[in-house]
Amino acid sequence: MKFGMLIDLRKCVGCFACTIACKAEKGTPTGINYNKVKKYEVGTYPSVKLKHIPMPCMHCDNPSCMEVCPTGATQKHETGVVTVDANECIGCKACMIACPYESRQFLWEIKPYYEGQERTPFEVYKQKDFQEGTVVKCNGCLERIQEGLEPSCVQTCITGARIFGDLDDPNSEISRLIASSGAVPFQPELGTEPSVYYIF
Amino acid sequence: MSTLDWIIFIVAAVVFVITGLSILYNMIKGHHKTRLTDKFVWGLNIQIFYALSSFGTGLMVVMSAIILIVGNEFPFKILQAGNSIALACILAGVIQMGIDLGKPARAIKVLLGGKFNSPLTIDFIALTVLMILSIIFIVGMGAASLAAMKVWAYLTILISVLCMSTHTLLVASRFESGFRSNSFFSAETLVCSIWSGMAIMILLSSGNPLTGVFVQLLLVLSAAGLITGFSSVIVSKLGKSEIHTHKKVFILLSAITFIILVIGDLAGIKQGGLVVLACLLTLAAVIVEKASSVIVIQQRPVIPAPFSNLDPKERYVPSMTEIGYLLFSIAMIAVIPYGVFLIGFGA
Ligand code: SF4
Ligand code: SF4
Repeated sequence: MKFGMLIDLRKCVGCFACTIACKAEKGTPTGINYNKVKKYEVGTYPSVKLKHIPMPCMHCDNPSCMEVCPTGATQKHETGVVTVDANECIGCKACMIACPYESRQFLWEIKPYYEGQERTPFEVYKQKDFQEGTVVKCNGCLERIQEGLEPSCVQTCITGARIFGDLDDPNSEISRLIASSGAVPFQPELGTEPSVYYIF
Repeated sequence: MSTLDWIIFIVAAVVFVITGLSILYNMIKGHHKTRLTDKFVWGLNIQIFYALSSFGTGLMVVMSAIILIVGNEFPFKILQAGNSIALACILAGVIQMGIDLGKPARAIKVLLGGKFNSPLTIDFIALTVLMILSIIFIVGMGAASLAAMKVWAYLTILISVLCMSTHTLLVASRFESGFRSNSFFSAETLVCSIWSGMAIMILLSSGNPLTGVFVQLLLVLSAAGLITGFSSVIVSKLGKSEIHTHKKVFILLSAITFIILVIGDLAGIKQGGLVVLACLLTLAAVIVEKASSVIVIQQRPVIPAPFSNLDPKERYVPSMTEIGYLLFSIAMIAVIPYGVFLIGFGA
């Protein structure tokens, strides 16, 4: 199995449901957002359009973040997802400099969501594996895909713009769609060989 | 030591202890006292790490070259003082990097990780070896044979240059390809190291017959600094990228240093105020160059994507905590060489 994701930008309406689903699934602390949806404009005034492009971790095949990691905290799992072991991370941030897709964040402090209150039981439970002073990133919902489920962002997408599947299997839906639509990774010339493909 | 030396030593020792305690406090309390963000992941402390390791490695290359060229003729005391300054610079730089880690107590994992293709691992090992080499020189080379000194010099040159090259590797991913790149970046890093090392050597060896030669070499190196900086501006112009203020200041400082040294050379001046000024300007130019290679590169979008224009523009201004960390390193650079002098190793 090789993790793959296809994002059809013609279908993305910029609703941020994937961003919210990811936050709920992972319980990421304040300020941490694994599943960014970036906005940009096309056209010239007055004929302009606002477009959206989800920018998750690309779970690259040649991840520059992993190459520079001095401790081996960043690893590529057999499923193809790129993970960070919080117990091994020293917080040097070399991987943040090396990742061209800005997919990593530094966890400065675990703060409660609601000012003046303690963390909720949900936050405490979900954030038990987070460590201040380490770098965090999307792990491709590894726990879910090992159970045969789709990543949360894919399951939530209201327009079906995200397709998840096995890039090793030429007959999987994702492999066939990539072949038929001419989908490409985002700026593949950066050389990290992303596993996320886009239909522009 | 003179009264002035004692005053410098005592003030530095007091600053060293106070800032050292505040570092310990911040390490226990966490890292949110810095102004670093997800955009600016490395700030003042990494800039100073780059600058101090540049000074230290450059000085070690210069000292190795002196040993290879003049052998035992050069006063051992100056080389010993040079090694103690190089050690202080490298150690203070490594501490700056260590403080910047999210989990400084886990730093040993860099060695245990066994990731020898990671630039940070190479840097960590190279800097450790350089510190060991400088300690060996300070403590044990007083009566060493020329052959032993030469072996020390060969090793030191190799490891110092390795260290300089990792400082290009660590941020290489932030330079794009083609005309958007800075093809002179690694040359700048290399030149700045040796140039700053030469400036420190001149400050140390005032009165020595060879100082005149060092001043002429400083002139050559300032020309190299000026032209590599100028060339990187031409690259930026060709790629229509912004030419930032730090780069302009670096070129200005290099140009002034070059002109001062040319005037001094024409007038036959080999030491004194003008030479000291050129050396200090050199060190300032290198610190500015490190700001541009560590901080300014983070100001730009990581990739020229269509959404980058709409990303919020952030500025980085170091916090008092980060400035306090810097004072610690400056104090350390005074404390170690004076300490070596007071203990009188190899005397
Ligand atoms: S997108 Fe960045 S963080 Fe994700 S695998 Fe690629 S290089 Fe690493
Ligand atoms: S911050 Fe952590 S994961 Fe990133 S390179 Fe450093 S040790 Fe590796």
